[in-house]
Amino acid sequence: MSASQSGSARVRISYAIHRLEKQYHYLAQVNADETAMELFQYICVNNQSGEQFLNAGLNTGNGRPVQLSIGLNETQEYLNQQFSSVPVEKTLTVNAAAMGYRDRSQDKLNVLMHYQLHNDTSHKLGKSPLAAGKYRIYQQDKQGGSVFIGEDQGQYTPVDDNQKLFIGKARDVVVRRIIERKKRKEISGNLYNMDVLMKYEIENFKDTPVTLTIEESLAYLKQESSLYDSQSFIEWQIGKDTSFKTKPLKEETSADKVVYEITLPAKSNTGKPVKVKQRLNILFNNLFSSSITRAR
Amino acid sequence: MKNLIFLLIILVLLCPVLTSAKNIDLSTLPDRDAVQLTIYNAEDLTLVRETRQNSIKKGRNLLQFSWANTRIDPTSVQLRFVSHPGQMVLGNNRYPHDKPQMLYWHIQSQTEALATVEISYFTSGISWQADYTAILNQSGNAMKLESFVTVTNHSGEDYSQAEIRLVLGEINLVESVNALVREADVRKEELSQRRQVKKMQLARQMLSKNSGQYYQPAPVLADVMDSEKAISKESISEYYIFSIEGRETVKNAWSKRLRSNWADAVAVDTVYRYRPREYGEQLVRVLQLHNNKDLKLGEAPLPQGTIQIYQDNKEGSLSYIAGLQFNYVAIDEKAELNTGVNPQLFFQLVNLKNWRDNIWMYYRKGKVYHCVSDDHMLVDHSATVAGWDEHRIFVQKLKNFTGKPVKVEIRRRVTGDAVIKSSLDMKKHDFQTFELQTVLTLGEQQALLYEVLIKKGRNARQNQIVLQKKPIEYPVW
Repeated sequence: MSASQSGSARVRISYAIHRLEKQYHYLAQVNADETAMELFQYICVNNQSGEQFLNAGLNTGNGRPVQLSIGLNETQEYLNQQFSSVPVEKTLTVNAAAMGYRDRSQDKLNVLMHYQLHNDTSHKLGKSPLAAGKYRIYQQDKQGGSVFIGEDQGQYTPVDDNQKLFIGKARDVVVRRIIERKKRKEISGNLYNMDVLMKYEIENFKDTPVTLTIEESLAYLKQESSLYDSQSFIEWQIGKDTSFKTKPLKEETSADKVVYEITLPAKSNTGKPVKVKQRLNILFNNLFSSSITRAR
Repeated sequence: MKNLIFLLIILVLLCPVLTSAKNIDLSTLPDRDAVQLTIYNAEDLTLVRETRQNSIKKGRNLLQFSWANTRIDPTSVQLRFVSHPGQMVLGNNRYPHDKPQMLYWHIQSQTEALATVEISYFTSGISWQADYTAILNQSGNAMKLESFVTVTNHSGEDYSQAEIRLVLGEINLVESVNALVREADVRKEELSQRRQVKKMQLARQMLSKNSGQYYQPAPVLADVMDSEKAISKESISEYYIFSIEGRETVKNAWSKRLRSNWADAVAVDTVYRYRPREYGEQLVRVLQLHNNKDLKLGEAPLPQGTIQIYQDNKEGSLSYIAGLQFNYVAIDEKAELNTGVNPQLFFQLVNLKNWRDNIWMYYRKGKVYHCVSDDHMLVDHSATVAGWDEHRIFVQKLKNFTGKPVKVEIRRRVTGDAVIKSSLDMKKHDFQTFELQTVLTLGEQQALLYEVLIKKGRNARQNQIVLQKKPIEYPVW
């Protein structure tokens, strides 16, 4: 160093250090009707760096900056952010390919329960991105206590984006999925179409209406229907025997997946659930085996 | 001077017989007058050039050079007379069979004088590396860029007050100096073994002194930036030479870090790229800077090295962005730094819809082809599909959560005879790759739609893509 005059000077020395790590985790308390939650974000700092830091300013870029003294091999945890009355959206989803069956012999699908958070100011969040971390979710019980209802590893969620947390499996909504029809229609030679009809029988044993998302993987359905088209290419269209009143969800549906959403009524006054039946008719078009190229 | 020993044996040959020990005049050389190290970073190679003042007597002289316990390439050692041109002549060199790592120069002199000689040789074990520290400003459009060079000496020899030059470029070597040193070591071992056998016969007690083990202190980084030192740069042939001002002492097993350059506000451009072949299946943030004078650089190439990138944050401290390898950047060339995925920019590639058409069947009986859609369909169970077109509609979904506008470049490769249809502005990168560019404003979402048509079987006639401007509708199911 060289200096034009002598004296004391404030300098900043910066360096990267290994094994001084932080992790986020969340604790959520959901209200009884599962419409809102208290959300607490914690930061856990673990110092295995071989260096102790006294009164170190710790700033993660979101939440509050803190002064922390952390010794060798020490772990410290502190509350970084807290959000009150955060609206939460509960969803139920079935997907035979990705989520499987609860009881294969009875064709009963697993029904997965998710909480969806919207990281924006209208949903009491949106001050900063939500870092990735484990979410532990509790719900108030009737005695005023709380019950652990599930946990999930949440992904990094930018401001204005959504966070979907898998909480557990729902048992009060029963979905049966049956392939009712599988009909081959020859075009010429080894070229053919396949008409597949699926039936969903859905019962809601809850006292309240619920919204159910039905996802159907076309690759899985093609495999289930014993279609030995060697190409990964899937050409499909929705057939006329489909009974869903609404169109597939535009944002979620793709060449590989068709997604519907239906609202299930609450069980009747007599205590019996209303059985909802829906049919999905898929036409797989222009199928052929790989032997075609030998014809050239 | 710890290990490298120069002995000048001035042997005035008054009698014709050389081997008589009583006629050899042994003297140790004074310290080096000057030493210059030219260090090549592409190879483990350093050219050492040193000058000394030596007393030369009239007649025949014998000069001994020894390089025991160093990493000098013995084939590269050279002697040159700087003073007294034409008065001193260098004869043959002799490598004595019984003394490893040593040579004798035979010198014929017409005069008795204090001569200046230059001894040059290659050595391995000295290296230099560049490293950079970059601090982006809060908006990410400029950075402070500080570059350093670190010289590390494991050659086995201390170099005091050396003039240091660093060569940037890739030279060709037939054999590495390391290999040559190893060869010399092998020869040394053979000689040593022979000598030991002799000694065992003569005096067993002497063996214990010949262990050949030397203590090597652990490398220590002399992390001292000497801001007063300037590093001048010049080009030579296809290489660049960085000369460090003044002289530096580089001890064996030490490193010395010197500041090479400092730029306060280098303009930086940020672009997000999806290029699976280069960066994998992800959208990465690439920082671009030009090594030119307009952008506060451009005086010399930026050598290959490591770079640590930080960013000033609102709280007045630094956020760590990435630690990367920095490739060589020529003057006026653009440097690109892949800092990885930014989770605040959502990116998703979705295959929305597929279908086949233009299907041609081959009828074996008549040996004819017919299109499935035409009116000449025949009932023939042995007919096979011979050609068809595959259509796929893709959407590249983007959401900008970064809080500032971003530029996005998407490059996709499609093999076969293909047509890419879209209303977007596309351009061909190569015969199989097309490129899309877009700008997302703050908080904007975009869905970039395009259709890929690939001709299969007998329908395929080419192996290249064709771009077609055509609006594509978002599929409705």
